[in-house]
Amino acid sequence: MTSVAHPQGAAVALAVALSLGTGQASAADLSPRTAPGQDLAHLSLETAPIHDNNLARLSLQTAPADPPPAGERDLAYDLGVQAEATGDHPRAAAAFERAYRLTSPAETGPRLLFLRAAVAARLRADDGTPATRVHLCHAQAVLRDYLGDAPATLTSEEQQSLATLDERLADATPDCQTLLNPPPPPVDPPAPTPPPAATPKPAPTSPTPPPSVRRTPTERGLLIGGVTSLGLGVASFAVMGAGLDFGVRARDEGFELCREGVNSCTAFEVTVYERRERGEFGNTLARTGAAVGVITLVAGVALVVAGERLRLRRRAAVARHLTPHLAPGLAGLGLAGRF
Amino acid sequence: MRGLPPALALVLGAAVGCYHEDFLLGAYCVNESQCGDDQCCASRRCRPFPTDCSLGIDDEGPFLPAYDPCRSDDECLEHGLVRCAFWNGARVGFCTDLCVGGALNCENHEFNYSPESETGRPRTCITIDDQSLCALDCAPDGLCPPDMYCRSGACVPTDDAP
Repeated sequence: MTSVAHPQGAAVALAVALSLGTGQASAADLSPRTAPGQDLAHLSLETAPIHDNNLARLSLQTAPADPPPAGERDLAYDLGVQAEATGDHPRAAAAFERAYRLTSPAETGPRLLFLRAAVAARLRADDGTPATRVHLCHAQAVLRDYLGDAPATLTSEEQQSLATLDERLADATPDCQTLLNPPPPPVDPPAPTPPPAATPKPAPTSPTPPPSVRRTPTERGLLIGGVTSLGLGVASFAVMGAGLDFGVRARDEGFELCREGVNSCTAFEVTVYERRERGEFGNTLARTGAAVGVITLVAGVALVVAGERLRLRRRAAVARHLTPHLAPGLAGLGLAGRF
Repeated sequence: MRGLPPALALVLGAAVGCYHEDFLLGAYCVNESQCGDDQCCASRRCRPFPTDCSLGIDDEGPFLPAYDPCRSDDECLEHGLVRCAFWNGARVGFCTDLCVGGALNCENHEFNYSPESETGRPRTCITIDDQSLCALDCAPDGLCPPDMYCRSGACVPTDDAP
């Protein structure tokens, strides 16, 4: 037979070879197409009837001197059959291999049957992808194990068939050494232990800053009007202060004229009249400034508060509808708020 | 009190009120408008309205609070008289005005006052602390109203005056 390049093709060819080359009687029982129930019936050596001459012969010939762990072996085989039924070929192969390992070389018949089951399951587990080629390697390994101490009762035809199978497996999987013994993953040098850092304090959870909302013309007008009014109020109070200062000065000078001099003042002299005029003017300034200041300050505060209320209300409305969502690799706006 | 900073003036203004014309009390006047608010021009002097406004502008009748005994200027200011004058070491002062234009512009006293004579006790101007103050003259005869005595030419309250 020619060598097979494609692993999947190799698996099929090997399956055929395994089925055909493993003896006359066992081929029907242990080929991959054999129903698991049949396998189980045929491989329960203690209870199943012997249908095959070779098997019967093998079984009779290999009565073990030491009783094998038949219970554990049968259990492993049963597990393999069940895994096979569910299509879990890797698990089935592992179970069949375990049954094979639990069988002593002296039990040539059962050992050969478990070998065939294990190899067949490995071949079925290989789907041709690089990831599953290791199953062919496992099949080759168990086959070579068997060939290493093949029983003398094995016919030359069987030996030739198994040798051919091993040869083809070797051709299909030249890198089994690597697949079965993968190099250990490179171990990164241990990172230098960072110095124990102080437990980071959790960042203070601050409320999400409200979205920036530009003022509408109305809000801007209210703000400008309010600030202007506040400014006018401050100016008015400054005028009031100046008026009070005028009044105080005029009164002081009046006292100097009418109380501190050698003689009394006359109420109609010019100097007294001027002080009175200034005092009256100061009073007018103070009263007007106070009145205008109070009115404009109150109006300014009201306008600013009204504008800010409008803006806050609108910003709250915006915040109710648009909420930023930030996450690694994600940024967007979502709907949120009280509805 | 001169040249107060605006902030302090604001505080003081709020505390004492705005401009007041109380400095005009006792000033010589010839009509009502020449006196300040809440004042009247009585017998040619600005007086508090209405308590001391019984005299007319040109009335020469006695102004009763004038020359009354006092201990401080404040007692006299209640009636528009600007000084409590302590003359020549007298222990009790008397309420009076500053002189202006001579003693004839000082207030009359009811003692020895008679409408016929049109004058009461003779008046004079005395100087205390560089100020010319009205006083009752006792120089001619040493006569003074009751509860007053003549001291260095001017009538002053007796020490036991109320």
